[in-house]
Amino acid sequence: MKNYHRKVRDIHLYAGLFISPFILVFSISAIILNHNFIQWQENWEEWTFSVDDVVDESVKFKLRSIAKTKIEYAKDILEQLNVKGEISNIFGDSIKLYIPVTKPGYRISIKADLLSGIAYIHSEKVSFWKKLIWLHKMPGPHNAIIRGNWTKTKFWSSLVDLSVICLLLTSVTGVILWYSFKGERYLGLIALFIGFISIVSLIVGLSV
Amino acid sequence: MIDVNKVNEKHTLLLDIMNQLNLKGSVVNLRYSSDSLHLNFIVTKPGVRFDIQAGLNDGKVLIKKTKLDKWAVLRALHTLRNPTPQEQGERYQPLLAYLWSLSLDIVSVGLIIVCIGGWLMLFQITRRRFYIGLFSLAGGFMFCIYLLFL
Repeated sequence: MKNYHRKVRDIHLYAGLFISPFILVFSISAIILNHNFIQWQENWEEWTFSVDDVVDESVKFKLRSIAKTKIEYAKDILEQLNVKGEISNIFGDSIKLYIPVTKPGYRISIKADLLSGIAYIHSEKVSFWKKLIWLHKMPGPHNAIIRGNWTKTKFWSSLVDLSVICLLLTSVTGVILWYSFKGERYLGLIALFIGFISIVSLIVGLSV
Repeated sequence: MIDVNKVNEKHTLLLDIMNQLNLKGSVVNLRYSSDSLHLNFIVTKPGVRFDIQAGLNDGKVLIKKTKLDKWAVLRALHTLRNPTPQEQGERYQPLLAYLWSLSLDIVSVGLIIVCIGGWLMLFQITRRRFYIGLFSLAGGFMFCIYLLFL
């Protein structure tokens, strides 16, 4: 029993400590998103096509026809331009392609001229708070077909899965540890009951 | 069919229509149709969404009700938040939705306190467990810093 208790305590401690920085990222960004402390809702059209107004750099690229899908085509262009980041969307036709790219701290607007083989790039820095929001929302449910097209996004997505598993482990082990402390049972039960009733009544109330 | 008082301003008209239809929920995308004959808006609440088209001349209301599955309910709760200043005019926050967003704040602040409390308690345990704990904490920080700054 003592050995079992020690194992539960260790899982709680180490899993909890590992996920604490992730929890900070999600908690701080949740407060920002909830209260709109910064203008986080992007005007996507405005910045996707911002390269039409401001060009920081123009780079030549080779047109290859081996790419099967639009996303593979866009990834190939990005590789040639040495631009790294998550492709948010792809707009365009057989003449030009607009590729908005995001990564923590940056948003990049790319226009690839498919006739001349020249790509125009406009890059903007964003604030630290928007970096947190980027992590909070990535990869997200929008444009699910192409999301997770950057290695770092895939990596982050796996880390989020891992941190959620650790959070569940920490919660379950927390309840087990609380139950084993007889002196804390009464107050803990009240806290657990209040939390449970609050969430159930809010969900039911909002759904009626 | 409802009574439409066209003299009313857009938002007053919306509230009036919602009262007559006995609809509750957050309102989004409030707009007149291009011919100004209809007032269109969406009312959402966890589990259900109503697309409303109210005829301003004839008082005829078209309601499209879409029932959402449990995952959509969870998603609606996950993204329910306070309206932005731009949305204030067209997004009506029922009291329960306000309470939900308040509870999001409480949970977020609570989690931050739990994290900081956990770090402080790390100093009270045995040396061996302290170092393993520090290693776990450093691992978590390393990943976050890598993604945020590198």
